[in-house]
Amino acid sequence: MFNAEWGLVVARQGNKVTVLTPAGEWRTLRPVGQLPEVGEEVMLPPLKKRPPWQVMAAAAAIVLLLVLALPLARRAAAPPVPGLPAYYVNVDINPSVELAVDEREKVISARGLNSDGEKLLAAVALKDEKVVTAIQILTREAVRQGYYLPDRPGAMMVTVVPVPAEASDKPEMAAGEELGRKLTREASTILEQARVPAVVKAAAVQPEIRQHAAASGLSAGRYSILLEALDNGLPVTAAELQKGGLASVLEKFDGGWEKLLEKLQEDKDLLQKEKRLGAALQKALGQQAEPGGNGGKSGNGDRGDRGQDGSNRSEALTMEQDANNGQPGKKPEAPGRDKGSAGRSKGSPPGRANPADRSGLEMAREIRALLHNP
Amino acid sequence: MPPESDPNQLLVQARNGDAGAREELIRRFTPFIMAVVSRATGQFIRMGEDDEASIGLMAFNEAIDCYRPDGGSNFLTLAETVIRRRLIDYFRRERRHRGVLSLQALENDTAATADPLGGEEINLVHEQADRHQEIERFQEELARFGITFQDLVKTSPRHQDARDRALAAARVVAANPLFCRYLREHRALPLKALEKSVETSRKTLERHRKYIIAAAIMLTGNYEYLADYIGQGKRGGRSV
Repeated sequence: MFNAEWGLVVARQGNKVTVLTPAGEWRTLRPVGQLPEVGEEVMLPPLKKRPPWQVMAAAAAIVLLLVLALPLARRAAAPPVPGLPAYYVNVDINPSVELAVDEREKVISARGLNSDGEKLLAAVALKDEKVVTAIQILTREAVRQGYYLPDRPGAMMVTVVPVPAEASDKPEMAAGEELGRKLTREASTILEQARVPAVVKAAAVQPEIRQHAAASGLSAGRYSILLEALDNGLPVTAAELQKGGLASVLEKFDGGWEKLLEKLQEDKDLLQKEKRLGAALQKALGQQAEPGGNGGKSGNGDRGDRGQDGSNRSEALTMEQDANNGQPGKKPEAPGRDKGSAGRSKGSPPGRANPADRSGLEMAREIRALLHNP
Repeated sequence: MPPESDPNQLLVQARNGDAGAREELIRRFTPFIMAVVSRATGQFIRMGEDDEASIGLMAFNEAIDCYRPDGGSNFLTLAETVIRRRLIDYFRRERRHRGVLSLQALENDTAATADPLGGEEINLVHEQADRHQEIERFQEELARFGITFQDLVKTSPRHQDARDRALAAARVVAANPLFCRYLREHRALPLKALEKSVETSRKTLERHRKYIIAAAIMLTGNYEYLADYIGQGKRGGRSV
């Protein structure tokens, strides 16, 4: 900037003068000594620059801001980790579906947990949708397909399974509960609009409950209802819960099921309940399977032999892929039917008994042996 | 010597015997000295070519010593007076030696003969009174356009480049009779036509509207001193 050294006084106001500089600049200044007359030329002090400490303070503030904002910005800018679920959301109506949801609450994948669930999912596209939008879509589709009827009671259980980020981490149950509340709000609104007097409840359960549920051939939601019902002395079985609509099954219990769902919503530790029930649970499950991680007899084969407590996101991903066997939306296997290497149990030696248990490498070895020694 | 040091401070230091400060002060005020010399002689003075330039520099140096901060006078006013006195002395010597008389000296001949120094001071006072009147007329005309000096302080472009562009736009207006007529009749800039004649965007023209109007009025009205004053610093002397 050109710094004028002198200027022509054009006006005086109090102890200040307005000057016009030869560079064409108009400035106001407080001259040293006696106030000059209009028409006189005066020497101009240099334009004030910010003192160095102010410049340094501003620079420090910017650096501090950057340091504070960088992790947030990085987190915001970071692309979502593909295929790494932060939550599994089970939605039980009669159709039962499971949504794998990432940290940004976007749906990574969806699968039907029964034939109705697959039918429901076949009509909608949920991938990359926000989970709140996904539940709206699912609820609307359920109404459209007649799973809910106007002025007829209905039920929906939303079960959120938070997945710990690391093996050592604890699942974020509070975040799961919050997500559950959000989802029930959305679903209730849709159902109210459709004039369906439905009871919509949500619960957050531990990842182990999901594993045990899968081993029992049930969704996490239905398995949780089973635990709560048994705890309340209701004679419900897993077989009953597997069939029909949630509301129709629950209606058998004299209308006390609404309270049951509410209790389930408030229950923070289903694992404790599961241990306490012990024999009653075994009986209710019948010949279905042994819950609690007895992998050798587990239903989907991917649950029991993967440890009960060491569930983490990467493991959960493997579980998801195993359960689908590379085919999203594939119905889970019936309890007791192991499949593939993932389902190989400790009790069954590899390469023997069941051909399905043999790995590709073993099969290749056998084929090679046959070719060499016909 | 830091280039941004206050000239008032430099003056104090120079008076206290700091040769560096004195040199810096003279260097910085050379354009001012040239402007005063050009005004006094009525000629465009060039450094290194005209003797008057050297006279002016020496007179300015003398003014530094003569200046009394507690005397109530302005240093630049004193410097201008001293420069004019020394120029008159120079012209007298020249007249005696060569028999040549400058126009300025002729004009002030009577007064100078009686009391040369006093006469020059009277001239300077008259000149300042004329400037004062010119500034007042300018202020009144600006008021008719709804512009005050304070507005100009606020809207004056901060950077020299921006000021140069705004002044260039004002000169385009001043040089075009149609634009001048539009300005006087509508008390506004003919922005649509003006933006085609300058390289400045309409947005910038609008932002510096008051500044451009003031400069255009200064250039087109009867404001000789003010019109001459702008650009003096860059040229180092009076415009021709």
